[in-house]
Amino acid sequence: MVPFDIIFQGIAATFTVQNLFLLLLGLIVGVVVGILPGIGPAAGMVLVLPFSVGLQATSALVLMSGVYLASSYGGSVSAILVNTPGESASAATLLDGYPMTQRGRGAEALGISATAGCLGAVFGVLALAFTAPLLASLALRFGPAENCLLALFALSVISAIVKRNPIKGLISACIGLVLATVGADEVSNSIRFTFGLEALEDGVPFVQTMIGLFAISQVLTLSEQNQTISSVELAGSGFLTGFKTTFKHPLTLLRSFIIGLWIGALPAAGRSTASFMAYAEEIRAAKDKSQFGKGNPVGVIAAEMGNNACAMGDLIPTLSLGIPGSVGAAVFLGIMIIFGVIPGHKVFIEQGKTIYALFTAFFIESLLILALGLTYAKYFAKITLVRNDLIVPIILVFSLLGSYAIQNSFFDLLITAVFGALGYFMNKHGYSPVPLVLALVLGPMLEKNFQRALIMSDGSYSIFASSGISLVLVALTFFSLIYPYLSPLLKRWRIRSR
Amino acid sequence: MHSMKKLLVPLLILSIYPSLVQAAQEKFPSRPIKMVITHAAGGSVDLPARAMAQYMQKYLKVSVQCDNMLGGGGRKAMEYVFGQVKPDGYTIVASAFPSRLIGELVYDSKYKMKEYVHLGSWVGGDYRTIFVARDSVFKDFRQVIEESKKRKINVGGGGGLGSTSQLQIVYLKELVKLNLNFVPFDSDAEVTAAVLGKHVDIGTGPLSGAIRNHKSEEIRILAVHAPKRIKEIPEIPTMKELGFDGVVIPYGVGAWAPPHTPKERAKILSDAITTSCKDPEFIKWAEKSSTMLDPMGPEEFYKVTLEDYRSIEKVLPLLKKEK
Repeated sequence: MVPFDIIFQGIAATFTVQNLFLLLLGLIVGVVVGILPGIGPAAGMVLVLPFSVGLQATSALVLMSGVYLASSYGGSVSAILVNTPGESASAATLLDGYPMTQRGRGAEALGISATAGCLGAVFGVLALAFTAPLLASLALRFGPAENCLLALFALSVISAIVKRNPIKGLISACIGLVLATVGADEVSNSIRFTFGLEALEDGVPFVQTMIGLFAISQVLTLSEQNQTISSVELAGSGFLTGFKTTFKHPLTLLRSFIIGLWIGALPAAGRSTASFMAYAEEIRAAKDKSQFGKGNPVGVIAAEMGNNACAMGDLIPTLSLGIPGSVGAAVFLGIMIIFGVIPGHKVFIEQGKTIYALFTAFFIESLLILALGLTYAKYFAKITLVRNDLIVPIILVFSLLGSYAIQNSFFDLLITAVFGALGYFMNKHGYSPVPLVLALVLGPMLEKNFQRALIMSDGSYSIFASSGISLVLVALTFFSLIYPYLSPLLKRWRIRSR
Repeated sequence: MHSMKKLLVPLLILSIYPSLVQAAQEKFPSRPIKMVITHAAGGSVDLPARAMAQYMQKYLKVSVQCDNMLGGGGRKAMEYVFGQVKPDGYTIVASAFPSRLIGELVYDSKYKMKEYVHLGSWVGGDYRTIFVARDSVFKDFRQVIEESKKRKINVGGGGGLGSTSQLQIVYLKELVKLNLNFVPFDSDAEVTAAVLGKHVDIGTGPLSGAIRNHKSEEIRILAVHAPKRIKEIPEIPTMKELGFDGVVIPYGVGAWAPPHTPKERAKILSDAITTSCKDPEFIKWAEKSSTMLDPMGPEEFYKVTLEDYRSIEKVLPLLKKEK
């Protein structure tokens, strides 16, 4: 246990004029970076790195923390309002956030996003502060076999999602899985399905695909309609409505928090995996699955909670083992090292003051984001009342700029355009994009770890049953695959026996 | 007609404008320089490269803009800069070596490291290491070799296309004759996690990352692929001491300009790098960030590239087999 005086020193260190100013600066940069598609938290932190020259470690990390945390809020703003994921982790938010906007509940969705995000970050920071070493050592028990089975379990949720329309749903999932195999096979290093295009050797780029699938397809749809994104902004919606809605779903909050935190603690998976898994689990848990994708607040809560809890979860192995939990956390780690904060299990004591100042900064930022989100939601949402012929070109320009900026590559614009067309087609013909995205996110995790596990066991499948964790995951997967088809039978049997 | 005359004067000025600008540009550098970085922002190539860019602009008096161009394990950026139609010194590339050579030779890339104008390197003295969890049954590398006579050892490595990790595995397999399964991971961080969770027997990775975890007593380094023992961990033997000669795997970060860059411009750039390396503030930054500095001037840097060519060409058939 860390002595209390270190914790209090850390808290006190945050409250200097300079640090509070830096905190605010980082927060503003983070929101802007988040709103703009293509610049994620990693690139955002590198952008402000020059400002941190000459700062003390504590001040520099306070500045970075603002960018790190606020970017996920900013990303959700553009996801909810104009169906453009500001960063990859926000893609899950738009699945129900944007339909809410279309129904005039944009401000409410923004309120939910701010509230659920704040809760995720606040409880995430508490978990980080008090259970990091424990969770980190638990996460280490997940090896390739366990990670493979975890991805399989997460994918099995598709069986629940597609129940309404299995054929279209499975086609969508298969497209995702096929796309996930494009590029260099990370295990054998052989290059697959690239059609000789060098740009595809690193796989189908994720954010560029998301921008196409959601933003561009939406631009096409909007330009067909001569109106506005949402016809009316509902009176009375916004401000506190979203805040209240969030607290009506405590179970969703709890489930998504655990998923987010745990995916974060695993070194191999990041925020987009967490938000999509949290979203998918809610579909699995819901009785009425038909409301998802049509503006169900539960979907927004789950995605936002998962995303923000994961942002904190990512820091668990980063701080306690020096193993970054995601790309964003890797940059955070690099910057920590530059400022002489060397992670490891001793960091909580040796650098306690800096670490607890960082936690305090995260705490303050979460509350500020909540305040910002609730007060400005109404005004942000006004953008959806702008006429389509004005807003569509703006969305188009920013989406394409974002897609280009990620790798400075014209080829990526082509990818975005192709997926824009695919998304438009899927939309028109009632194919849900959720199985596609879920398969695209989880496919590589599944395949890589499957291959790794078999290399380790010299080709023996017994490795997938060699630990308790694996057995539990296998059982859960089987159960979740058959349950949607078993439950109606059970119901009938129960009625008959009565 | 009159209006045509009015137009004529500005048109004339416009037409000679480019040559006016060119004359003014005789002085190099007079506009921002673009430094293309082959790997992602925040990584082990990017951070030292960005730090160098900051100091270079202090001496060049123009801004040096960093631009991450990812793809093909660094090959995309190397090919982009190599193919510059007008090599004017305003576009340079920063990357790691000798992995760029592996990328060129193993994947038959469209760039030739030999033809690149070597500007200089600053990160160096970093070598590949072999490590285990602190509480592993293996206390030294000999025990690993003994064990591998009884069963296959699982070896974790990060990297991917054309990385030094591939080179190290080839060495371990073919020269050390270790009976092993290579388990590839996406990053060095994942390798460390797999080692700590006892999912693989031993891990491989760069010294700069491993040394931190060694000092914080999470892992134990068993051997380094270095020509001599490392100052910070004098108790750890080199591969040569363990009886395996010729398996030194260095790691460094340097900068190159495209072929046919004018000599005097290349000199201005490499002088800026050399001067930056001596800047006390830069040295302080390196110490704070545990970045290992081992600066090389253009001639020495080029010589090292030629040496690396020779040693990699020796194992090239094996590397291609791994591909």
